[in-house]
Amino acid sequence: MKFKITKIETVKGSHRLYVDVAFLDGGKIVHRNDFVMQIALTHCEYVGRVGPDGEQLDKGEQYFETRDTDVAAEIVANIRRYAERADMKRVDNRDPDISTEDTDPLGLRAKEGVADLIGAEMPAEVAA
Amino acid sequence: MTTLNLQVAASSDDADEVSDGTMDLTSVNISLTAAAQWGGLRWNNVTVPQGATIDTGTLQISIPSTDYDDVYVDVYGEDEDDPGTFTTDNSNISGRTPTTAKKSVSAAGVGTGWYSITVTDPVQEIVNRGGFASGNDLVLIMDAQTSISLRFKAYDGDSGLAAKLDIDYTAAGAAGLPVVSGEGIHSLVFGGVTVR
Repeated sequence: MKFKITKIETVKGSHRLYVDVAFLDGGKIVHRNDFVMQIALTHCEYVGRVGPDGEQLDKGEQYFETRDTDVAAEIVANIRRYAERADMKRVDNRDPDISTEDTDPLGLRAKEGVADLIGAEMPAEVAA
Repeated sequence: MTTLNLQVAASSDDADEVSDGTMDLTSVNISLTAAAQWGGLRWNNVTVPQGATIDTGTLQISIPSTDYDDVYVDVYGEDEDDPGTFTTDNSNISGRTPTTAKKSVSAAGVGTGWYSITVTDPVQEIVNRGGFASGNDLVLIMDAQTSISLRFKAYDGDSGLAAKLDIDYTAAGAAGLPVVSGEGIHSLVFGGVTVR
């Protein structure tokens, strides 16, 4: 089973990504699903009570690092989790209330590798 | 079907509660190491239409250590239309009203990394509430059971590893469109009836 992302847009009036996906078996589309993804541009990770240069921090102080989110990897991971649990019915029931727009308010679509996902065929399962 | 991928997005939107009711909103892990402890998780802006069919609800937690990977827990929803974030008020998780539906998990030594718990029924019960509306918030309540030894990443430990909620749903009145391949139309669905 493979999948191909056919569209990445933004849910109208939100910061969430709209991702339209076709699942293929033997080159034929067997299932479609659309996703509304809440993905943060960065994430903050607790490192400890030692500063970035190894210095011991004062009591009560903690050191956190802010890192960029790999948005493309998050998109693919969300789709693969779906592929793992879904039964791939041969119908396409979309939520008719979802509207999308060609915007990028957080810069998620501009992140490295995101645009390259559109049209590429990728394995739906994670390699063992 | 449509899938909504959510993640806890604020420090006070995950918390744990020890047996005397004391709340902890800022630890790096949600820690459940004895019965009578509670975990609470909240997701914002759940854009699922009221009354939609929940095909699957999946809670994902990130377990950092095999020292605390024994999952013995009952997972409920909070039986509220639009529940608020957690506070330091005593028993702010156990004092919330749970759904009737729950998911019981008994699994020892599940290992590190993302761990999935199916929570379809509690999510369905919340979405079925007459006062639920698309865009409301949703809370899951974790009731620790005997033998539990579980820690998983909180928003304050790594916001990228905070708890996730995946909801696969079918909106009432969603159009059943055929999938067309090289072999032509395989099926049509009208009002839930599949015609091949």
